[in-house]
Amino acid sequence: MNHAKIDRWNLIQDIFHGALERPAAERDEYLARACANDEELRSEVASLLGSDSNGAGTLGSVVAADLKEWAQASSSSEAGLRVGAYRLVRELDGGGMGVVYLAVRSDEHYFQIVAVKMLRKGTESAALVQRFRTERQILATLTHPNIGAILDGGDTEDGRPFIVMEYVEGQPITQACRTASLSVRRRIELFCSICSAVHYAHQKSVIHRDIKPSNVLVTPDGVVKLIDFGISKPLDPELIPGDHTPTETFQRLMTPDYASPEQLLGHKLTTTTDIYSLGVLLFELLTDSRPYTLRELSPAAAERVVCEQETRKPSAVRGLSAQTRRELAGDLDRIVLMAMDKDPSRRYPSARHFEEDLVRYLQGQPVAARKASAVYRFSKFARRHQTGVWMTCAALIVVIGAVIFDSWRSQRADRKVKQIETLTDSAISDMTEKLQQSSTSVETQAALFHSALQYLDQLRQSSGNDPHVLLDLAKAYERVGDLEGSPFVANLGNRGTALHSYEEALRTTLEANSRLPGETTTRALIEAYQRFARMEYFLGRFPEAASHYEQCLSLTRGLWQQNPADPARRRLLAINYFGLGEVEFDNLQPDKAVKNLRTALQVIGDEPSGNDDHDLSLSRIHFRIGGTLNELGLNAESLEHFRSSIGVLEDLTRKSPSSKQARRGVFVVYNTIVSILAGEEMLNAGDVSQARLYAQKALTMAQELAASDSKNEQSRRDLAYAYWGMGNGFRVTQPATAGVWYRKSISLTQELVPSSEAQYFVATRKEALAAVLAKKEQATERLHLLQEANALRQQMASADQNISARRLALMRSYCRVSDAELAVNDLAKAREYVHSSLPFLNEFSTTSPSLLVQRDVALCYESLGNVQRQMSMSRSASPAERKTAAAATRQWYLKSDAVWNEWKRRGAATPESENERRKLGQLLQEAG
Amino acid sequence: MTTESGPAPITKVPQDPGNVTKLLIDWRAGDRAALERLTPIIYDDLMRLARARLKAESRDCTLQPTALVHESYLRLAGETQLAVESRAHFYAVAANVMRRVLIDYARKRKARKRGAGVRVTLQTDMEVADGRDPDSLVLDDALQRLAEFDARKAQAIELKYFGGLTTEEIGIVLKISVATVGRELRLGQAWLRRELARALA
Repeated sequence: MNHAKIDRWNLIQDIFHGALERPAAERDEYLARACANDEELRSEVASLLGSDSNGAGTLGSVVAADLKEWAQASSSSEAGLRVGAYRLVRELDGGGMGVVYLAVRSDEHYFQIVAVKMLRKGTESAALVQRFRTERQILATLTHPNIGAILDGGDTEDGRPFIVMEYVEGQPITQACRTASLSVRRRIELFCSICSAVHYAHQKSVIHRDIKPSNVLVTPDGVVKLIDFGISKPLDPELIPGDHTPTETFQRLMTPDYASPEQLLGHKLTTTTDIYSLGVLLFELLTDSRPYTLRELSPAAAERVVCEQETRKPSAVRGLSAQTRRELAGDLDRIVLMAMDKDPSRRYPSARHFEEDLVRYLQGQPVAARKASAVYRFSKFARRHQTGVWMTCAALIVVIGAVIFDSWRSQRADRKVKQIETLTDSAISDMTEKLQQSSTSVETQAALFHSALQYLDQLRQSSGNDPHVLLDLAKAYERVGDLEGSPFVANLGNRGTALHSYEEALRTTLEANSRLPGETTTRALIEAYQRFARMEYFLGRFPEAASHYEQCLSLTRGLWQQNPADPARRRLLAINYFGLGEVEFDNLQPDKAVKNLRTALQVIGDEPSGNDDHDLSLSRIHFRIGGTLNELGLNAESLEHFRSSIGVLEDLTRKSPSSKQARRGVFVVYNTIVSILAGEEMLNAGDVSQARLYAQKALTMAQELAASDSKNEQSRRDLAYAYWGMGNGFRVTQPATAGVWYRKSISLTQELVPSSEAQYFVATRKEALAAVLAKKEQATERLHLLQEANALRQQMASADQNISARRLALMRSYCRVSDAELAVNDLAKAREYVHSSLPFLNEFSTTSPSLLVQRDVALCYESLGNVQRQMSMSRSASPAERKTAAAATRQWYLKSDAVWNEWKRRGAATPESENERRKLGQLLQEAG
Repeated sequence: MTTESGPAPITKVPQDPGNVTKLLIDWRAGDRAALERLTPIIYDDLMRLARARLKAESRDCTLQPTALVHESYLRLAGETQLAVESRAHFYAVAANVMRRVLIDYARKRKARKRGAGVRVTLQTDMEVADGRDPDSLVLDDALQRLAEFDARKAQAIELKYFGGLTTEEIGIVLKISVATVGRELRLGQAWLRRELARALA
């Protein structure tokens, strides 16, 4: 197009739009002006403007009309059409591209009713047409008493090939069997004739592709006829353009219930596809119900069901009579399931084999259909179930299976192996059945683990004394323990049984070690000890855990000494020291802990190595040391270690940005630093601005994590933790702001799944909130918060008597409530509460190496003093009583004061502890 | 995306359909072959959707490309969460398919010279001579002529009427502002309407 024309068009456009911008009345005038003397231009634009109004409607309706017609044309019935010598009467069956009509031939020579099959109008493509013709040729050669005959063929007026078939009048076989109440035997006999028909066709390379009840008819004479062999079947992937996703395929199907897995997946079809459908047909014939009903399912669900879910046995169908169930169970079950195997190569290789096996059954002979090995069945099943609990159970069963394969391959006598295989097989079958009952309730899990352990125990009994076997067995016990203690299955009950499994593992390993001392068994022993000790630690059994770690230590040290340079041995040793240190730390023995933790650090070497596991361990060790030093009053050094920990973690996150562990690790350390800097009462370094920085960092991290995965419990827990951290940052200098953050933290924590951890958090955070509600009008709220926290603390302490830290917290809690009661002038209650703290003072004293303990005891003394002080001022008491109380007040305060003074002397004083000391000094002065 | 000189008939069946998303991406990266492969997939889908709708609704219902195209999109690409941009491009391809489908059909119908005409309900301000109802062929012809000197308007029209794209979506595909789309459509429609009227006169 030349420039002149383009210019002209642009001009027309400008004027057109210009005119539309003006009110209608002015348009003519504008037009005249804009076009100057160019009459052609003016009339051009004018005509366009004239066509402007509602141009949309016309165009739209043109398209819509054609669209409708097109749609109709491709779907309309062609009843009435003359096709060759026949006239189409009505549609019988239509699946996508091919359609079958009932047709009639009526002329002076014949009256005949037939079925005519052809391609749907509008769907014919060169490929399809060609295919149709080819298949028509082949089908015409099929002559079999049980196959609907081909009578004729031709082309329609518009060039579509068609095929004329015998019109078989009859009922679908399933219906026929039902109405006649045929026996199982009789049904099988009928079915056998179908098999031979299919086999005959297969030998002529014709696949039916659509075997279903409506294609297997029984004539009034009782003859079974297979009709509608596969011409242009909708499931032939080569003929259909488009995606062959199971979704698509599923949506094309009229009867998806009979579709084989490979059909749904769009794979090439073979004769075994027909075998599958035959299997489904037999299933339905025997049980009067289908193995799957896919109608209501979404395509994705249907795919899962057909391709993955294990088919239920015919004998397992509901509603069968007892007699039928007996008949079906066993061989018939196996025959049907073999035909319906998801893996085409595992089905009957031909319809003849299928038929023969059925004949054998009828004659009472053993059938060829084998029971799929339990492990095979299970592994197919297990792979698909991704949810946590399933995975756990699946892993469990694979573990069991693995034990067999590993241990017994070489030296065992055949019979023994067989015995054990049977044992495993039945154990696995047993567990698979349990799992298939789809119950993930705690009871089922427990039952599952119980079975597994029983099985392992049996194995152990029959394993004799072979140390290698024992080692493998121990590993299996460990795996079971791992699963029992895993987060998916975690609840305290299971942790307890995990302990038992680990104990068994240890026992077994000890025995192996005694029979075959040496490096292999020593390593195994170390593993067993460490797992066991770790679980004891989690369960709060600190003394036992420490003892086991110590027993292990001599082994790890020995192993290391043999080759001190070996990083693996070093790591094992470091982990041992670390584990021990952790236990001591949680057991309020920071002095012991720090030694072991420092040794761990020495052993592992204070250098990140680039190896993820190593570096994570290193960061943990630093972290723990930091915490320990804080409890020992060495805050500056403590902070150094925290910084080192962060350094390592940050390097890790840089290296593997997706590593959640590393990121979370950083988050936890940030929050802990906040505690150290400004959070932990009395024990903090008093650096509020730094604390806020870290708190903010932690908050940002938590918010990011929560944004990307809001459903995740862990990320919400972390967010609550971050809120608490923010509160800690403001605790001392801006209590009101801190209160806001604490409240946020509490409400989020309360939304989480209840657990003992959550209990602890709620209590701590409520106490923190209470501490910042210093105003007079908040006294009642403060009291309630502390009472609630106290209730929780009582629960926690009684739930686990082993953990001294809980008792310490409870003691402090009583004191807190006592002070709060005093603030609302309830002296009686205050006395009650503070009295409850007294027994604990037998256990905890100011000579404890842990400053945490010292602090809480000191504060306890103070609360006791407060109560006495109140009593000394009480009008209702006698002067003598008041005098005693005053003396007691002094004594308690002095004891408390001593602690803070000692801290000062040692150089462990912090700004808050100094405040406390001054406050006490004041109180002592007043007390006289 | 340009309007070719005469849409190709849809008869070819692809050997390896590939996956819709990938094809869309390839096509947008300039791979023309991808468009060829996408076409039958979309064709097949649109057809099935149209039939299904027809079955589901009464005889007198109107089928709009918009609904079909949207549904087709959801079915073929919906799960893969394509960006808005990609969605618009999908619609653009579907629009093109739709156009070819209808033209194809109109040609066949014309070739068969069937007596039974198609009733077209037009807006009342448009007089139609008997037996010369405007159909997709006439429309297509006019569109092609428009494309000769203003490809963009022709594209916009195709997108709107055969694909049911919104003004925003058209803007995304043609990389012009919404306001510009409005203007293009307005004049384009007016021009076409005039042409249709002239063609049937």
